[in-house]
Parts: sequence; C-alpha cells; structure tokens
Amino acid sequence: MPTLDDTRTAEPADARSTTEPAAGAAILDVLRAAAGTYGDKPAVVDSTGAGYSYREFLAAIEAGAAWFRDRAPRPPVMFVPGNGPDDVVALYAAITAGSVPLVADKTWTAEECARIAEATGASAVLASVDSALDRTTLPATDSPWPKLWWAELGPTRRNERLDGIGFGRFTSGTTGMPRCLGFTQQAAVNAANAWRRSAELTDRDTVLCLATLNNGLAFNTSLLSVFLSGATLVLHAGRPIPSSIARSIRKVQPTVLTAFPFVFDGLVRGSSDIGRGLRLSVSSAAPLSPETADAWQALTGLRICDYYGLAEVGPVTFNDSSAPGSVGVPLHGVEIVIEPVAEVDEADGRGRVLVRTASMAARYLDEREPFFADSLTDEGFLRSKDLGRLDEAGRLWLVGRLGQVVNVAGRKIDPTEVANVIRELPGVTEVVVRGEQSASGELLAAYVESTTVDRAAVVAHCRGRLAVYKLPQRITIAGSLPRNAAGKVNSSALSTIGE
Amino acid sequence: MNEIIADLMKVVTDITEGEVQPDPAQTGDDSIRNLGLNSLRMLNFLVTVEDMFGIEWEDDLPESVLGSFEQMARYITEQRDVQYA
Repeated sequence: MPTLDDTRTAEPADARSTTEPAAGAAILDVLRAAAGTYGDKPAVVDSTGAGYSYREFLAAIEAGAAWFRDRAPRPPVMFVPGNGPDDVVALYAAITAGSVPLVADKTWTAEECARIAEATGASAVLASVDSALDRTTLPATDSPWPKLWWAELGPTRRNERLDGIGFGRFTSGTTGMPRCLGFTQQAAVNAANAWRRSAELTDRDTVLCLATLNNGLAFNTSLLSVFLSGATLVLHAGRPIPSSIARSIRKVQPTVLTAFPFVFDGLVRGSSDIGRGLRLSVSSAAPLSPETADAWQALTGLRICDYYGLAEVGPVTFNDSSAPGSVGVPLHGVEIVIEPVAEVDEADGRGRVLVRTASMAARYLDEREPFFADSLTDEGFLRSKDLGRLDEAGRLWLVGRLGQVVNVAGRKIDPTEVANVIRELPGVTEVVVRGEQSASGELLAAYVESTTVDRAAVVAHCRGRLAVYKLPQRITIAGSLPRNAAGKVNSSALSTIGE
Repeated sequence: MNEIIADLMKVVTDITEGEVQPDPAQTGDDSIRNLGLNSLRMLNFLVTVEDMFGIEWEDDLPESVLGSFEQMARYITEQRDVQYA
C-alpha cells in the first residue's frame, strides 16, 4: 500500500501526460488504462497516508464489483459514502457491477433515505459507519470495506428507468424531497475530462478534496479527473474543522485544494504554513468573501479560483481568479445561453442561465413530475434556476436565483421539504419556510403557527427527520400567522411577528 | 467548569445572533445537539471555541464531547491542564 511520501518521491512522468479515454469508454476502462500507466503510484489515500496505488485501486474495484454482482439483488442500490479511499473503491465497484449506486448524503436521516429508496426502488443500501443511518435498525451485515455496512431493503418496485444509467446523484429538488438524477458512465468521463483540461491536472498533482464524495465539487473535480491525470487524490480523514484541515494540508502538501467557501473562511483565521507547494485553490457552491480571498492570497500567495457546476449537467465554468466575482468561462464542451425572463430586468443582459454539456444527466430515476426532459429546451439546454449574464469575454456572472431553493453555505435546501416535515408535528396548523438574510449570510427561517408547540419541540421533531444542514436556524412560533383577505399566509408580514 | 459552560453558552448565543439561547439547566448529554444548530453554525461554534480557549479539537474526539456542554467543558479543562502542565 503506498504512502503519501510515495506521491512526492515517485518518478514523475511527463508533466502533461494523461490517460486519454477512448470515446465511449466506461469508467473501468479509464481506470484500467490509468493502472497500466501509473501502476504503483498512489491513486487515492486518506490524509494519514493509507489507501491504494493505481494497480491496487483497479484490483480492489474489480474484486468489489464481483461482490456487488453476488450480493446486490438488483439495481439501483443506495450508496451513503463516508470520505475515505474505500468509499471511492466501493463507488466504482458498484458502477462496474451495474448496480447503479445512488450516491446519497451521509447526513440524511433514516426517514429521508427511506423516502428516496421508495421513490427510486433501491434494493439495498451500502452505508458508511459515519453516516446518520443506524445499522441496528436494518438487517445489516458487514461488507468487504470495514467502514461500510450493507443491508437489503424490503421489497420495492422495480425501477424501469435505468437503461444506460451508470450511477445516480441527487439534487435538492423543489417538490418536497431530493430528486435522483441518472447519469451514464460516459457523462462522468466527459465531466472529468472537462475539468482536467481547465484545471490542467497532471500526474504531478496531489489533490486534497475537502468536499464530501456525494457533492458535485468532489464528484466532478476530485474523482475521475484526478485518475485520468495520474494525479493522487487525498481525502481528509478528520472532521471538517479548520484546525484539523490545516493539519492535513501541512502533512499532505497538496498542489490542488478544493473546498467550500466556509472552509477557506476558517483556514484564514489562524492557520499558517499551509501554502507550500499549492498551485491551485478552488472554491465553489457559494460566494466567497473578498476578505477571505485577500487573506488566502496573503497566506498562500494564490488567488482562489471559482468552479461552477450544476447537479443536472456537471461542471460548467472555471474562473482562474482573473475576474473576481465571476464564475469564469465555460469549460471545454460547455455551451451557455442567457434566456430573457419576464420578471428580470434585461437591461444589462441578465436572464436565466441555460447550459448544455457532454456530461448532462440522462433522466430522473423516479416517476414523479416534472420529468427531466421538461427542464430542457428543444435544443437540449438545461433551464437552470440561476440568473446570470455573460460579459464580452464570455465570462459568466451569477446575479441571483429563480425559484425558492435556499443556498446555505453551498448546501441547497428545498424549503417545501422542511415545511412538510414541520407540518407533521401535532399541534401545528400552518408553516412557512423560506431563506432569509442574517449577518452571517443566508439562513433557513421557519414560521410555525401553533398554540401548543415550542422551539424545542420543533427542533426535536426536525432533528429526527431532516439532515443537520436542513435544520431551520430562525424559528418563529405564533398562535396565528398573518393572512390576507383570501386566508393565505401573508409572507411580507411574517417578519413583523412579535413586533 | 460552570464558568466554561457559561462561556460556551454565550458563544452559541453570539454565533446565532441571539436566536438560540441555551438553557443553563440543560448541560448534560446531547445538550448542544438538542439546540438544533445546523452544520455551518456547529462549525462556527467549534472554531470560535478553539480560538476562545486556545485549544484544537483532536480528530479522534468522541462525538459525545461535541454534543454536550458538560463534556465539552471537561475536555477544555483537560486540554488547558495539559497545556499549562
């Protein structure tokens, strides 16, 4: 098994050498080619140095695929990964076996996972011991990976929407629960290639990924793109606390760091000696404060670059930090069009961002409406919920969002899902959940109509049913919510409750 | 220890801009977790506590320490004792 030191002492191949996938190549073909080229070089390790060389990685995936073929009743399976090398092996093993892993969030509660399993027909779950799921509530057994357990789920309906699908990823949705998008293996390869080119990843790179594996930032910038390049992926083994991350950075000395803005916010507050060897810092999912960008430059000598991607289409743009505030230019093979929308002033070219890529989802893997095709134009562009404009240099600037999805530090939350959960609480007669601004950014606010429940009851009810990141942080409880003449809750008057 | 717990509760109130006011009588198991802080606010809380008390959270720290005012205060006391020993 390789160590991190092997990453730095391995004989470097040509700095520009990469493993070019053939058109139509499946993920295993890419990994097989990488194993042939990079052999004993570390492919994926955790920040303690434990993990797999390229050759070991391929062998472990093939062995894991055999296990899935033997054990998985039928596709899809729900996969709730932790953040270690074995999780990456299990992901590609499940894809290789045709088990169609649906890559879920490890903070989702049992109730959330059960709803998704029902909607997608998942026949089993492979879950991390670090996930919010409790294996004792299911007929769980061990798996080949020590920190992942396996449980077959009760009879669910067969999913008839899996033709050509390699894996599933989730979007927050706007209809009360996350929706699962199905992708082909080729879409993942295309996404990885698009990012590899823009980030100029090579076999000399060590990529430290601080996003969880289910997240688009990790999935699109730090998995297959790394292996296509012959680079080494390092996964942070500790908590996502800046002091722990700083220890990992000092130990690993990555050349590429991918993280959310709040991680950079934390790292600049007292870290030192973390810039050695770093050539690229990538932020995503939420705006980065100018103060943090400046502090990071003072600390490391680097500007933070921005990545913009959408769950439905994969990587979209990259800003090499030359235009602060922009999310940059389209990646290779990505087309962007701005569509005028009635409710937005078009004077400066703002409108809905339409995107077409070679890494788009094929379809939703549930039967609910709207269908994925409904969100596409006749030309195959995704109508995103983002508002933006393109400048004369072709750079995209995001200026807002359409719809009600709330972005809390890069995590997208559907307020309807949270409101539905609170509404189940006995004694609650009406609920409004929405995003509101606070001194520290956008937060989720819940207005609860009840004469019997208190804040503690709402929190306790939500904690058992919603992932931690979805918990409303501003909870207002009133005997009656303000209503208009038609009896509907008057949203504009909610913030005056208690005044 | 009570002083540390009071400081920890004040940090919670500060980072939530007064929206969460811990009950001084609730300091046992899950007393922090029961406040319903989301992931981001929990992270802010932990970072602020590190700065305030001059400690660093160890990677192998049991989750229970981060979920209880009493256990967290005890951990901070122990860390300070080690630092000043």
